Amino acid sequence: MIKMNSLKAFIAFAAIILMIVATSSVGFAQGIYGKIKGDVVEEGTDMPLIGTNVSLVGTTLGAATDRDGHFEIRSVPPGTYTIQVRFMGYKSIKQEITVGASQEVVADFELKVDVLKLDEIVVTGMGGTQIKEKLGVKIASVKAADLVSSDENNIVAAMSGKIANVEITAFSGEPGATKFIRIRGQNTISGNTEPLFIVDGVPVDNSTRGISNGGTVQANRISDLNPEDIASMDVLKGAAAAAIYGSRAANGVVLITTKSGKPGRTNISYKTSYSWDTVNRTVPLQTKYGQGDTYQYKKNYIRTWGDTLEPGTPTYDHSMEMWDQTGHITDNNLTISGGNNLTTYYASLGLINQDGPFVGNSDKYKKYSFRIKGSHVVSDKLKVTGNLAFAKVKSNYLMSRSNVAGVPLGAFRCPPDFNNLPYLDPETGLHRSFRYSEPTVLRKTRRYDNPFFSAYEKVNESKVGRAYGNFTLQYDPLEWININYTLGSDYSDDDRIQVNPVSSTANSGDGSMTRHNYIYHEVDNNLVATFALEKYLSKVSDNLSGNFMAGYNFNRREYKHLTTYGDIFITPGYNQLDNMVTITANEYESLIHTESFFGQATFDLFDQLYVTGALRNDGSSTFGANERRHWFPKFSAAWEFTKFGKMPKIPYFNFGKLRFAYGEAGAQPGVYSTTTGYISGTKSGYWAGSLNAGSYDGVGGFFSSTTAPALDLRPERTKEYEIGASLGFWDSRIGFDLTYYKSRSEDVLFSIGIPPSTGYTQRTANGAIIENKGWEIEFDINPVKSKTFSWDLGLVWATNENLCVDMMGADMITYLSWSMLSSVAAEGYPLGQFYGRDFIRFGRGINYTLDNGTTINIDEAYPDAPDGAIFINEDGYPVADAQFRFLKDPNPDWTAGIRNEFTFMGKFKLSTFIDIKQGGYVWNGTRQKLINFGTHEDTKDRGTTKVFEGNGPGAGTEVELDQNWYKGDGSNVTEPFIEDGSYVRLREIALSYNLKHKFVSYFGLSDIDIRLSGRNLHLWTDYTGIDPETNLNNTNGRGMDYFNMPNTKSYVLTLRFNY
Amino acid sequence: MKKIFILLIFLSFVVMWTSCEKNLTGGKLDNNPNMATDVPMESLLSAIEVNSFVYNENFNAWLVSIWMQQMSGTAMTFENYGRYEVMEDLFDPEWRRAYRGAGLVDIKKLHEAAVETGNKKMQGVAKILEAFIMGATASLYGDIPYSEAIVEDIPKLDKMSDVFSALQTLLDGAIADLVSGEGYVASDADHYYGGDANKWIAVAHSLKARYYLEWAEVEAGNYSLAIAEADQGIASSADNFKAKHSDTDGEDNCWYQLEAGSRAGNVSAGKFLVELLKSRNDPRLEIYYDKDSEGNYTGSDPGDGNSSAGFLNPDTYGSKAWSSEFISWEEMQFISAECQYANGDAAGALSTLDGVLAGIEGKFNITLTRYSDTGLTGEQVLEAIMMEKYIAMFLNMVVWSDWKRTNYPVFTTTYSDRPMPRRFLYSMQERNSNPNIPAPSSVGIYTRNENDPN
Repeated sequence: MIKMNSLKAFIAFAAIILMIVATSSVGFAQGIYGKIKGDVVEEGTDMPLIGTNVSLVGTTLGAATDRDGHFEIRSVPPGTYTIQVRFMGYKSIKQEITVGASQEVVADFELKVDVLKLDEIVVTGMGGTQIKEKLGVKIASVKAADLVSSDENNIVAAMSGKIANVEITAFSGEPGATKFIRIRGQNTISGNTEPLFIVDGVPVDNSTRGISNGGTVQANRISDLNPEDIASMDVLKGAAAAAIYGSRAANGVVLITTKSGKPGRTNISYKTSYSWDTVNRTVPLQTKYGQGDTYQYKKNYIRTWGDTLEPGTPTYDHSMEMWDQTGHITDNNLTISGGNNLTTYYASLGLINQDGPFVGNSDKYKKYSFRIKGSHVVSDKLKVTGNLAFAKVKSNYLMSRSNVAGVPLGAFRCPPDFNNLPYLDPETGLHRSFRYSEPTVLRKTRRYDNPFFSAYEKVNESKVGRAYGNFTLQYDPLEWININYTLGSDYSDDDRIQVNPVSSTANSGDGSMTRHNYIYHEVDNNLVATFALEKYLSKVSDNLSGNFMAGYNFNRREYKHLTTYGDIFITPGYNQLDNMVTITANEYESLIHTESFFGQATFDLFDQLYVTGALRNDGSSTFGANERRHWFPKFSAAWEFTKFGKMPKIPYFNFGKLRFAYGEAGAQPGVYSTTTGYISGTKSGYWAGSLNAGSYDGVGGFFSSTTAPALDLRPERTKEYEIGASLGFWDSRIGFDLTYYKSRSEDVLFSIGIPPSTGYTQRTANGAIIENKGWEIEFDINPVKSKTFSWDLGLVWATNENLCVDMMGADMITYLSWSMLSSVAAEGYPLGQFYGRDFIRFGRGINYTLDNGTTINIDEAYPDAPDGAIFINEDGYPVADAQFRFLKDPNPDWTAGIRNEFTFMGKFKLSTFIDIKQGGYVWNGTRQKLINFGTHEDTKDRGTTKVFEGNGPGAGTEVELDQNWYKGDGSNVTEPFIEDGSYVRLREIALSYNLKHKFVSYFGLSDIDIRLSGRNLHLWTDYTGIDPETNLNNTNGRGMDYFNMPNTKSYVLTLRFNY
Repeated sequence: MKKIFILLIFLSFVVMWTSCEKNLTGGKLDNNPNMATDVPMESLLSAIEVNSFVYNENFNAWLVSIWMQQMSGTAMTFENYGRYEVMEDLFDPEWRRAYRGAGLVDIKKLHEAAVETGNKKMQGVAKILEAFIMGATASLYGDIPYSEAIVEDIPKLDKMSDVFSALQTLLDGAIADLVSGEGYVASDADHYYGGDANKWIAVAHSLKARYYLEWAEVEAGNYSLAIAEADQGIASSADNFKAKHSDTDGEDNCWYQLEAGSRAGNVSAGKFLVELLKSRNDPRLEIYYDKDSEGNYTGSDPGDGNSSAGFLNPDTYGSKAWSSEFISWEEMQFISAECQYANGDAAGALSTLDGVLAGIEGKFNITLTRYSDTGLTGEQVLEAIMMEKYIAMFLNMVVWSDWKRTNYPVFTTTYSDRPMPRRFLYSMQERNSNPNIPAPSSVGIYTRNENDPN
């Protein structure tokens, strides 16, 4: 079916081309060619601007400046042209130039800084582009250099803090571990919250597969993309900007454009870097008390409430022992690009080899990637582009989080007087742990694995092969019509092996092994016709121009996950499925088709009012049969009021634009939510007793699943409006951009209970409503610009307020449901709100039964107690509330980033980037649990006394902070462990030097960039655990830290050799 | 030229537009490949029958047996149930079981598939299984969603009487289907009768007899109808309609699983029946129950929480492979006896009663007291029949219907002298999502049923 469809689109396209090609004249005008050459430098500093795009408007002729800022356009037929000089962040120059036969024309240019980047061409999606000056919606663009300067090899991590309201969360500091991205808050309850990634017009996969509350933290697939390949990145933040992507765009869209070769001399660049990585923060542990209970040593005891350790007793630093090493990243990159007026090419090869700062062999990441891209102008009407990238990623991960084999769990819970080394008993050679310290039996649970055993002996390996790219035909049948057909494909295969060796706690010491195979394949067909309407509109009015675009898209996503589980090793140490006692296999697959039609019209009025309207119609196989197709409209307008004739000239105020945009975008229902089928399994009683209906007395049984088909399922729909202003001062050396947006997501999907008498008990339904609103400010200033010293300062600041407005009266949806804490979606609260155990507090109408058996209403009994004060029981301690309460909000109040760049003598560059998050609570579940276990530093004060603040019969009583308190309500109540996750982070600091010396040219090089940088070097925070930029899993809850892996900081030395 | 070109572009869009619907449906697009979409009738039949085992042998039977004091809730939450302290959410799982996968929804699908293939016998079996589970549900809950169940998004409640008259018609249809001899029932997938149509016909008649009798309190004419059906019902103990269990895990008796797991001790022998059997020197005391830790046969009264009382005899009713009987030759005989008595034939009734006792003697290899020569008259005859039925229908939910209708047995104790429950509460999930369902405050466990005015 898919083949039929793409074939149909292709044939239609090919037929058109053939017809026109046959009737049009082919080839270039004959004559004696001329040549244009010159240099492009920055005004004020005379620094060459490398990679400036110089082109002759209306022709395919052009060139890019080389390492010295020099360009040459050859084979220019004699005539008069408009030459355009364009470089990101500078005002472009357009001027007339005349070339005579065999003439060599010299044209030098000085470009002026424009912090507003008004001339930048912004990718707006589905093949559309717009000049930034005319945009009616905020699209954040990131320069390639800013991505590379982050020293992150995962482009999601590289975006951290750089774009207002683009929130990046790490899950672990391990090499390759996923980075989560969320834009302008969460607008779905159970669906995917990450944006759609588009590379060169083709959707690509960014899933993180197989991440749960325990186990390993795997990679997000967009990390397969080599950051060196990226030319630019444009972020469509919300529905208003992304509506043209229809039912997959509600979370925003990240548009990535890869580098291309440019006409001119061959550019060769070789980059090599080496890093020193260490863990940036860990959890404080006490070393004063030993293993045991009630101040008595107890061997193999789970907790650390034992004896006071005598001075001189050896203790072990379990807070650092698992990551006291220095990790390294070796990153080598070679790119070659170039071409001529007809043909361009780009090729890159990247090799990353990372060994993290963690103990053992499971903190490794290796990526080989290459990309080849070429384009050829077949005729003056037809251009062909091919673009293929390949990545091979091999990564090894550690166990962490809620997992008895987890490295942080095993280390932090271990008493300070127990030496985890050697992890194999010297006498028996068996795996020893603090709960089974003198092992004599191989196949027996260790209760907790020794973290060193986990790090050295467990296997968690993922091998990914990925090929993705596109084939593009661009055809201009007429001067004013452009047709673009892109066939894109993204294929990946993730082959995983997970081994719990014999004696590991998982599977009672018998060992187990799981093989996972994930296969993903996405194919995208995109056909767009763009009609330039200037010629026709100018007949209507001189002040009118515009274009129209119509397109068709067909997208196919196929996914398969095969799981083979092997139970019990026959022979220890041989990690092969044949060596397992029993093997069970499971298979999951899915297929989604999405088909879209779209159109967009753009008008420029009086060269100051820019209006865009677009409409997309999506059909998807995930929609209900009665809701097969849906419309997604969009409208935006920008008015450059400083061009308005009657506008009085204000000194130093050179540019002003007001923006308004409205758009609707969707999120598709989960695959197969509309369907039901038969399942097999047991029929179980509520309290006891189950019969295996799936196989009974040798007969296979099937019965209907509990989920009803949902024929009326619609996509979730986010409606967003956005207003803003861009202002430029001091000849655009000061730029200020302000945006306010408000979105309302309707028809949000979740699972609801339906009457069992219908034959089913649940159905996926549209119904919830979520709102997000916020402010975004960008401020850029270029206060000094001279040959000796330049200073650039940039600031972004953003807020987002999230609220779950309506859930159709349904109970809360739980993202994490533990006895300590839940993170929930509940009506009237922001999504992800913490919900858990608090102390009994005043103001909640709580009845409490005193020791003498009388029950009091605490608010009536103690009318003087302020609301929210803790109730102090007769014994002087606070008491746990039996009922779960809404606690705090994990979403930040605001986020900000401050970027500074100083350039000295045009050669030295010092840059810093500071990332700030204010608010956003984090549950320090690690501390909560370790207080119960008696290993946390906070329990060092055991035996001391304290007067708990609060009111009630026992207020003012001095009580002992004993183990009963710490093991009891002192760690059962979650509220005190919800901590402020605010931070200020020195995310980047770098010093670079551009070496241009005879010595360099002696080796045939043009120059060498030398860069020494620090990543994440310092963190200011009140959070008492690891780096608060963390989370437990990628379900939709946020801010949960439960034995999560720490984060890292790095020093990096980079050399870049340019030919 | 230009015009042709523009025409071509739009033409190609039109071509694509017209093809769009079929790009989005078919195959794996709207059929979940991870679930079976079409399964053989045999697989449905097997699952439906296993589900009916659980429905009649798990929690429903446990609670009825506790309330009917054959058993007693002696620990944990079961002690509360014995005190008639139940909440509506408790009934969610079993309520769902009646309707969802392997319940009514799949019985209807099985019937549909049998109609499509022209398999009359399978249609008959499906109808009987539907009448069996829906009849039991109506007996437990009173008015239930039935005529609109599965069909509508918010099914209405049908009056209990309408449900039973619909089930009588359904069973007539089942008998006709099976008598036609067309089609087949796969022998291995039919855990009840191995595909034997004649045995299924007898069960259909037996269910008709049971259901007629259930309404005899309000419809006196039903005695004649019931006895006529009972005569065509299950003809021998060997043909009883019973669960199939084995020593294999997942195929073992639910009562056994209750005691074998973490709920051991939660349910124990009921003092009323234990003492009744003792007072009658009835040897079934030892056949039914296990001794307590002291080696005596003891039971627990409602709310006593005497968890040291014995559970079921681990070699019979409490064993792994014990197959609980849901509809039996014995029940048919009791129905006949009761109907004979009601129609004025007391002597015949006692003779029928002796006949069933003789059968039970043979089954357990015991000796029981006979009634023919005892000179019982009037109400005493009914009491004798009903008490013997109460003893014989051990752990069978029919004793609750009998008690509601006849007020036999007369219980000596109830918890805190409270009245005894007459129905289950509607499932909380059903009530929350279906506005037709009354709240426990208006229809509670003590609310009388339509067939039980007195």
